[in-house]
Amino acid sequence: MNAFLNALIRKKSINDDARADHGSGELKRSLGLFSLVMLGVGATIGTGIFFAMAEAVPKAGPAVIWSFVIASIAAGLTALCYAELSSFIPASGSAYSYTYVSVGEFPAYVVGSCLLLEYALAASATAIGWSEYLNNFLQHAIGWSIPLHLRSPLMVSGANGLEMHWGNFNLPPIILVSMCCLLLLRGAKESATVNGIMVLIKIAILVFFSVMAFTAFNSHNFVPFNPHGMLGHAGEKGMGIVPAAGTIFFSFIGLDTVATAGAETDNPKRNVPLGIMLALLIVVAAYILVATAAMGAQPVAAFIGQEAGLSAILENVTGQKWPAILLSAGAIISVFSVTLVLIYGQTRILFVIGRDGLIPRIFQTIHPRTLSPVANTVIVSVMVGLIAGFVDSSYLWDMVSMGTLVAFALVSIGVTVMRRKSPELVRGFTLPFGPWVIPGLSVVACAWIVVGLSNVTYTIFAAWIGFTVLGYAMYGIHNSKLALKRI
Amino acid sequence: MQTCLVGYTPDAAGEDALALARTWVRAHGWSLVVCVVAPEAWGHPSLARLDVEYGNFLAQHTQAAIDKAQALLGDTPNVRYIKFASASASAGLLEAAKQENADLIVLGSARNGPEGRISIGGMIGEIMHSSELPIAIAPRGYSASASAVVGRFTCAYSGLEAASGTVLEALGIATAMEAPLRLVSFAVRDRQMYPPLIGYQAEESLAEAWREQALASLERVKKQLTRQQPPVAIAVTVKETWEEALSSFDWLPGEMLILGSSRMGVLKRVFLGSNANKIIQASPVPVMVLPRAS
Repeated sequence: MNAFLNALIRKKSINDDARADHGSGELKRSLGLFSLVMLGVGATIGTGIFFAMAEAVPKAGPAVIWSFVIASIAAGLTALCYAELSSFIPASGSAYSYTYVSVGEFPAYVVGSCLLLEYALAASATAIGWSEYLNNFLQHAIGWSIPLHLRSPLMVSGANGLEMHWGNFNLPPIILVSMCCLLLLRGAKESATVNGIMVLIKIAILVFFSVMAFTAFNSHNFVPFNPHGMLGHAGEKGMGIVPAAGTIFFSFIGLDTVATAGAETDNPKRNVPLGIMLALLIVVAAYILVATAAMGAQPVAAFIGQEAGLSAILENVTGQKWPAILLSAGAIISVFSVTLVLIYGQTRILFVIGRDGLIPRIFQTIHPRTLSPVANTVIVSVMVGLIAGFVDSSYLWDMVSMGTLVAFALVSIGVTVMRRKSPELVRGFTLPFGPWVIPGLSVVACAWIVVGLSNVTYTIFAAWIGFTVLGYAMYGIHNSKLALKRI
Repeated sequence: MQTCLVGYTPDAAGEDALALARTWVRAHGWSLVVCVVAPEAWGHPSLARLDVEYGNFLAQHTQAAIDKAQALLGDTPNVRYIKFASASASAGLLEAAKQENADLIVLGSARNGPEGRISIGGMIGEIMHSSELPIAIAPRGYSASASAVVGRFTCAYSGLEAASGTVLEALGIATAMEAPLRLVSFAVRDRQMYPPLIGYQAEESLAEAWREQALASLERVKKQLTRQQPPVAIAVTVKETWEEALSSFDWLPGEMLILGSSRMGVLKRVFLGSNANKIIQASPVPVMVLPRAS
């Protein structure tokens, strides 16, 4: 029994990870504060704001602005925890690797499985959102829209819970995911320049939307401001500011990128926390601006079930097609890139877990010519594509947030553990106020948001974790490279 | 006796090609055919006799080229000099090689590349993609440092199934030439996804996995060739550029790099370029491109 428990918390040493990941051909970088902020803004903005309003506004009403603030605080606190860990654990795999070094193998496995929700499900959900904007674009540009049964999911979240619509199939997201898959199989990478262009497109769209939407601003739409309170009134489970914060939390995925870039940053002690804070401020300001503009332009009830939300609002506000076409075109381009990057991130996480022997070897097989993990990319893409093709996105966003929040909380715990376990290690960046305050607040913030998520989300998450435990017990624990090395 | 056909032009590239061809035929007792391709003259007589004048000019030019090649080759045995008229240099050389039953075509680098490297101009590109014979290309300035012997053959191995045929052919060449064979695999880690999401190190981890995979693959091939004398050597590297990757290997005097021909379609080649092209242009030693397996 002791041996089993020891297996669960066996930890990689920092040197193990550094050696494994720093092979030949390492690229040298030196990021300044500006680059770091742009990296954070680019990685974060746009993942959710194009789709978040239709999901979150019905839950919190105009008070969704506070949901953005709460979600941003949790994301900011966690990103700071990431920053401390990344400053002395030079590992790929982000939260998974930090947890492997700090807390242990099994918690790391759980984090890996949460990251699967964070990236793969987010990719499915963004692909579904892309499909809405594609349809909106086609409808306005050429007057043709994709037949409803070819752009609707089979599993729908209806008034009475799960409904199966057997004649439906959401085709466009599958096409998008297939395109991303082909690009990744070819070893394609989105360059810094392309990423920069994508950031500009996203910011331009959001500014354009806000300016246009503000022309129809009606303050009456903000009354009542907070119809459901913090956690919903009696009998309103899943409503309120905090549950809405859970739903929109995925809009902050990517902020941790700033932290994981710590090792490549000039003067990380100053630039990493500053970079995180500035990126977060820009992102949250943009989100609140968009949310205020959107809610000023139409009443809360209009958000329910609204497809391609931002485009639809612009069309209603201006009464013309061109603003909707322009916004949809921008969304189609930038969400394509977001989906590509999310699928890419997912394949790399599975690759790193595969390198540790915790999942089958097939995930770490590399194509000799393109250097892309072929089977891994195909498996991830099929999974992302199928989910996007069959499942209603309203099921997905909360799951994405659940996975992300649990992973974030475990990373935050890792900071405290490492401070106690290895205080002597030199850290590039150390959290202020000691080992308890910021990690503690981060865990509390994540937990608070998790509390607001729906019962369905809990049930699916519990099933997923059960599946994870089974996977670890049947494969991971026996094939762990760390364990085999110690024998 | 096997025949090597060199596509000669009376310039530095032609000198480099001759130097490489001479090393090859001297070391292995092949016969050498020096081919000068001239444009076809217009077959219809003109009243102003321009066609005759042009024809005379071409004949003089071609003869001058052959004289220069003769002077450069001196007393090299088994050499023949031929003139070939064709609408294009590449088509002419391929036709001449067919006519002469050649086993190898040797060319010099195009003129626009850096010294010591190969540049693939239009003519070399056309020949490479349509030849059924192996093509050897000398880097710019090769004649100045040409070795008397082919010191070693290095075969670039991609690890794909199709590459096994290339290895066997390279092995056949090395055995016939009584030269050692080395198998190398190299990759270039020149791109990074932005934003990287899970950290910059992910791609390092992939490159490391590739290195392990490539090494294991080469070890397997080496194991199959244990009877080969001298023993087959292997090497693997991952760098940021093709230049760095190729320069990181040690190269013996007179060494030659052997590549399998690209299996890519025309469109892909035109728009994206191929790894093979990049490798050829980064190679510090002469390169032999084997034809696409039929």
